[in-house]
Order: sequence, then C-alpha cells, then structure tokens
Amino acid sequence: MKDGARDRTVNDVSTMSTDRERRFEVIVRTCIDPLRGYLARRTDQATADDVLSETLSALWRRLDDVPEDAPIAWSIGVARLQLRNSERAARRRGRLIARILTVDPPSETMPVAGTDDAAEDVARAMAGLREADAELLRLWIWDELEPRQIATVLGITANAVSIRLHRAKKRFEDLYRKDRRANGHDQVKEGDGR
Amino acid sequence: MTGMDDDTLRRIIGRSDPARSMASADDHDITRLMEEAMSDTRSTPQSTSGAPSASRRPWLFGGLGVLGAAAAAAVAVPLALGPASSVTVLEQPAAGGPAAMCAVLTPEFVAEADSAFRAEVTGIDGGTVTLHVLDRFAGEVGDTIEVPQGTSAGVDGEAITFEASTTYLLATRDGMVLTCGTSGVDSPELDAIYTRAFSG
Repeated sequence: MKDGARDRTVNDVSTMSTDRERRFEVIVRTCIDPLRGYLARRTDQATADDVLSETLSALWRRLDDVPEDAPIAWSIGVARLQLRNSERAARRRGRLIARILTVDPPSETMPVAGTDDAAEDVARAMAGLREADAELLRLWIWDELEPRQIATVLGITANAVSIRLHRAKKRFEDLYRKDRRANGHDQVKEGDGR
Repeated sequence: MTGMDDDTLRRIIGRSDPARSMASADDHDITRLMEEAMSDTRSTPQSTSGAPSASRRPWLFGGLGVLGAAAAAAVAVPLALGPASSVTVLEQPAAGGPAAMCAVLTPEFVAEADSAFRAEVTGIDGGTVTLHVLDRFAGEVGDTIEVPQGTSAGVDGEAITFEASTTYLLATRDGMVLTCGTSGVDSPELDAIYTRAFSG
C-alpha cells in the first residue's frame, strides 16, 4: 500500500472513531441523569455505580443499536436488565446483605423522599400494589417516561402500557384514598402532595 | 368518587421520589464515565459477565445516602446487552436419560439462570449448532450462540437435539444449557414461564 493510501485509511479510521466517540458523548449526556435517577430509585449507591458503569459499557459496545429517537428509554432498558443481572448474581452468591434491600417484595422497602403523612400514605399505597403496577407508576412519574418509552423499557407494546398504567393509577388511587380515610387524614385535594 | 387527574397523581407520587433532589452529573463525572466505558470495552471486548464488578465509582451517587431497592418489573425485551457481533459458546450436559431427575419446571427455577434468551437455529455443521439470538430475557450473551448438537432422543435431562430453522427458548447456568424442559422449542407455554420468571 502506498503511503498516501495508508494515510487516507488511517485518517478514515480516525474520523470514524471520532464520529463514534462524538455520538457516544451525545447519548451519554442525554441519558446520564435519567439513568442515575433510575438506578438511585431502585438500588443502593454502590450497586447503582456499578450498574451505571456496566450500562454505559453496553451502550458503547452497542452504539449502532441505540435508537436515535429513544436513547433514554433504550438505555434505561439496558440498565434494568443489568440491575437484574446484578441482583440475581448477588442472590446466588449468597452475599445479599442488609444494606442491599432487594429481596422480594421490593415495594415494601421502597424509599421515599418525604417524611410527612402524605408521603407515608403514598409509600403504603405503593407497597399495596402489585410490583408490576408500582413499577409502571414509578417509570411514569419518577422517571418521567411516556407510555411509548415505558414500552421500550419493558419490551411490551405502548397499548399494553397504556392499559396497564390506567389500571395501576386506579388501583393506587383506591388504596391511597382508603389509607387516607383509615388514618383520619383529609380527603385528597388538588394541591395535595405539592 | 372523583378520579384523580394525572397532574394530581404526579404531584402526590412525585413528591416521594427519592431521587427528586439529585444533582446532575457534572462534566468531570461524564468525562470519566465515558473514558471508563470506552476503555472497558476495548480491553475486554468478549466479556460476557452478567455481574457488575466491585464498586468503582462511589462518588457518582454521593449525597443520596443509602437507598432501599426495588427490583424493576420485567418482561422479555429485545435489548442487545451482549458484546457486538460476538459468539457465546455453550455446552450441553453429557448426562441425562431415564435416570435423570427432572423437577417440575417453575418460573422461580428459570429466574435463577445465568442467561435466558430466544434464539433461532441458523446452521447445523457436524456436531455444532449455531443460533442467532432474537431476544434476551436475562444475562449477557453474544448475538451468535454455538452449542454442541445433542444426539439423543431427548429423554429427560439429555442434551437438546436442535432442528434447523427452529426457534428455541434457552436458559443457561455456568455456561451449560439447562435441559429437563427448562430449555426447549419456543412455545406459548414455555414463553409464559420465561415471561413470569423475569417479570419482577
């Protein structure tokens, strides 16, 4: 190969690498905070750090597969599976310790940010839901994903998400209102939870 | 009873978000993470480990405190977790047959597999079967699977005898295809068990 041809090849490879790295940076900057939030809501700090690292490595490996129009949902889908892998490995190794509260049912250990009555009522209502329903509400509200994005994360159709989400909202509301009444709290108001 | 509208639900549930006040990652964090991700892949392109390694970046989630965890609800999702274009080589059990003790197949058993995926047979060359992975339920496997062909009639616990152009649901542990009915031809019944196994 002549030098000129070799230089062009080297330059082409360099340009491709730069383009690839540039696209990766765009995706990371788009997805990093949603990913950190998703993991922080569902696991302990050390596991979140590790799973985030594994997720970004997977995104880099499979950069060409990351959909242009849904990088956040796709990356959360990867993180979700990576987290499950981590939890499964931890269980099987028998190294599940108290600080990692991932044993079933997870909804009973769901952390909440608030400490007032309303926050406790929310936590109780969420814990009373089926885990799949609670997770739908978390993905919708906490992770701020639309049904079509949740569909990407869970690998089901957007229509199925909409139907299940509607049901989950209703179940949550029933439990929340029932709990509020049982505890002598006021009826739900428009400004409640603000 | 008047139903809550979406805005009210968002306010009520949103205020319990444990990551609500989480600060954004700064440029330094992002740069470090990117470099680590790119260098990890370049140095270990064939890694198929499903378990994250020991904690390396405790600073990243600093300030949040120790949070409880909730396993995410899950069903099969065709996400590509495996190394790009890589081949995962699996084994099949040598034992089996009438003496094998096969337990009743349950989602709980399947859930403990290292990896579980749907794959289609794309080639059978001598004693080696090649499959293309279609969906991944759990674990990291490459896009292509190579596994020894079974030679038996498929009695309990024996190695699976794969058929060309057929789609299978496969679960593995320690690099071995789980048999005894845990892995088999894709069917609504087996798919239901896999879906339940990984549905959180």
